[in-house]
Amino acid sequence: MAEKIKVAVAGNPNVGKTTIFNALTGARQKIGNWPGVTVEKKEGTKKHKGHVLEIVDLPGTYSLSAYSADEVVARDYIIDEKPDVVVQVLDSTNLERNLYLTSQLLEMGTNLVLALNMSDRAEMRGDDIDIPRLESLLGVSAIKTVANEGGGIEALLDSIVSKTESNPPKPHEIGYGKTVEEKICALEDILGNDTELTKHYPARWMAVKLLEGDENVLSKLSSSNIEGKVQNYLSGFDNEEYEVEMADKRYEFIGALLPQVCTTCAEDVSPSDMVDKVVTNKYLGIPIFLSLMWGMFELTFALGTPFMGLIGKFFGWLGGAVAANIESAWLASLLGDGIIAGVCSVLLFVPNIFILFFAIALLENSGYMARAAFIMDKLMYKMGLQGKSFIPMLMGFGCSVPAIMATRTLEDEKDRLITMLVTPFMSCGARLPVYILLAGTFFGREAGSVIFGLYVLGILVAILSAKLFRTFIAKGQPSPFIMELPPYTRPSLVNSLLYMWNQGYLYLKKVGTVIIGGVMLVWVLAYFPQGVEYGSAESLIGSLGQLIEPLVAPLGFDWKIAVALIFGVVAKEIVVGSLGTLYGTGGGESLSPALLADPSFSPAIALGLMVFTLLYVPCFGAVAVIKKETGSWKWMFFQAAYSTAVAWVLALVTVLVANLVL
Amino acid sequence: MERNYSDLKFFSLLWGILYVAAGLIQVGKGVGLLSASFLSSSLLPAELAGGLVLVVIGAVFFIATFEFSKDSFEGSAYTYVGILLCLVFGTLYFLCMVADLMNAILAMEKWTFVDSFKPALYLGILSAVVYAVGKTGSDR
Repeated sequence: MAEKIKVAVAGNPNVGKTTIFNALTGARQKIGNWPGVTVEKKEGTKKHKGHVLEIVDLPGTYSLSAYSADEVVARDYIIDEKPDVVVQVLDSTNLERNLYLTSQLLEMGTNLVLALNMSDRAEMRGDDIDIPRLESLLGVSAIKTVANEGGGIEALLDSIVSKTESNPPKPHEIGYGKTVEEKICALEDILGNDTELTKHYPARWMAVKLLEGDENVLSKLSSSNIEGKVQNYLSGFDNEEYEVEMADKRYEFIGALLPQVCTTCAEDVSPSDMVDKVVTNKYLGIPIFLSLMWGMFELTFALGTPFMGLIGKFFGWLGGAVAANIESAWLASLLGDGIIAGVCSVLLFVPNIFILFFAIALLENSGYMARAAFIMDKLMYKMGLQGKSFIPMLMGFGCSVPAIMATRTLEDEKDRLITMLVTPFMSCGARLPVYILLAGTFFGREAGSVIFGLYVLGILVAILSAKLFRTFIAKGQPSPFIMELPPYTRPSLVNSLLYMWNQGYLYLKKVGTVIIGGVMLVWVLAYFPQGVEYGSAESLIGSLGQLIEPLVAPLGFDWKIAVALIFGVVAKEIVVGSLGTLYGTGGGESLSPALLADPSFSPAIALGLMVFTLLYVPCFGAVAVIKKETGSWKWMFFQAAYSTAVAWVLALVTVLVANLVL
Repeated sequence: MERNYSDLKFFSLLWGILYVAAGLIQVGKGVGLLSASFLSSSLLPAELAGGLVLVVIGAVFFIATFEFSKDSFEGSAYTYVGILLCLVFGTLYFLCMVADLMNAILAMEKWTFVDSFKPALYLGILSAVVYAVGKTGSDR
């Protein structure tokens, strides 16, 4: 039987851990050229030379003194699960910062393999890293990798396997100076009284962590009889000053190590720095960001339109064939008015979804999105949030669920709560079909600009809501924002296509499950009771719609829109699917003429409906993840009620203003 | 080095004027300050958002000129990013033109090249040509 080897992939944020993980396991986890893409550990396996490697991709962490939720995930895994080998991925162009985590992993006595990633870039700028010297000084294995091209991956696998066959390493000791060492020794003596504990964790490492005031390590003593003694000893001094001193000593260690292993030929100004001068310029940064956003939506709409036409023609033909060949009236109606009309209304927008996600992938992988967070920091700080919050918010353009989970990268709980509450205002991909249908129908060639305007409105509402929440709910100052800007890279076509496919696949999967179920339910309610006109006010859905119509009547929405919005809470795509089914268009592009012919629709109503769809209660998935991440029903219901109230008010304002202007 | 900067300075000034002028005309037509037929309704169509994008690109070139006038090497960063933006938006409008053509074929409607030949596209092509010529010259 093959021997199992448990491997953890760790490292600082944005050094290419997930790229290494994907290259090692053949997985297709999302990759981004910005920090915080991985917020939960991901697992995969790989068979290599008769061994089965069980590989875990951990969120990025700068040190083992974890501060944010994602860093805790990484640290707990290394400490508690005790992987056979830890692969630390390092950015070869920034060894000094990356080696800080290395020093802590060495102190823990982990079986360490260093993957010096992006080594091509380091070599390109003239850095010479002496691998044998690094290995001999640290007692680890080190491999140069260029993960996005698969460089060094085989050697890394070999190194992981051979590492398990060698003797277990001894913890590496960093000298912290006389005063600190005395305290470490004293703590080690106390810890030595609990042999069960020191069997699991190196005593020196625990002593160091306790001296740094690490609460997680302190909690491990809760069931031990030495807890009182440790607490008593630690209460005798202020450990904050030692924490700083110990960090300094680690940097001294790195400072002594680096010149021996790396000759650096630093550039005066790198091409990345040159580009940053412009795109993060005080005056030009935001206009350039908005221009690129506008371009992205213009392209999404314009390039998607001919493909929409082709899909529409196919479903038009399919609807016609069904109507002509099925004798049973109810079955023909179920297939034609219900499933084909509803599903087609949603599938029609698949090309746009793919184009949008491809464009987002290009911007993310190039490293530009990290700059977007940077240029928004000043505005965000004024509004009560830090620039780092803008990263999960930008991820919300794809889907709110992973975006809300990505708030785990925020250290401050108040910052995190506010970001979670406002992220659903960022327009997710599921809302795009509603915009494309309505903007395309009522605004023709200006559709791209209208859609861009909606995305900007989403950002503005999110930022203004953050200000409101900071003033009244989570009072205080946002945390200062320190972010390392990753170097620009040429976006990999494969990674961008992979990202596009993953996001598009989720959309297609929803069409085959939730949406088809939703439109069938709408059809049943529109068809019954028997004998009434399909989708009329006398049908079940008509009755339901008229019941809730008064709530949205001030906005100018009729009962059909009310019903579509109610069903849209399950998944936003169902808004369009429901309209398709309710209008019984039988598929194709005919929903647009049907809307144009309906006197209850107008450009102003269409704008109001788009604004309402953008802002009202997020889908079930997003609501559930807010509950999970906040751990509170209160915040979940608050977000749902607040967003719906904001949607109602802004939709009303939009309709009133648009009626005057258009 | 000095000669290169003066070339880039002149190029940046010229491109700044071209982009800002084209952008302002499009914005002016978009908001109704200028008549749609001013200069050319096809080559400079009314387009508010697209016009503003051209103004932003033009501003990048103007800042490049300003930096060059201070003898700062940073001017070249603005010029190259400006060219990059010209190429990005030129490509975008090219793809939009292809999409227009496909739409017209599918709908069996009339399509004219001039209607899709927007300022961002022809200025983008011009930028690409000038950049290629300039790069070839400097490589020699």
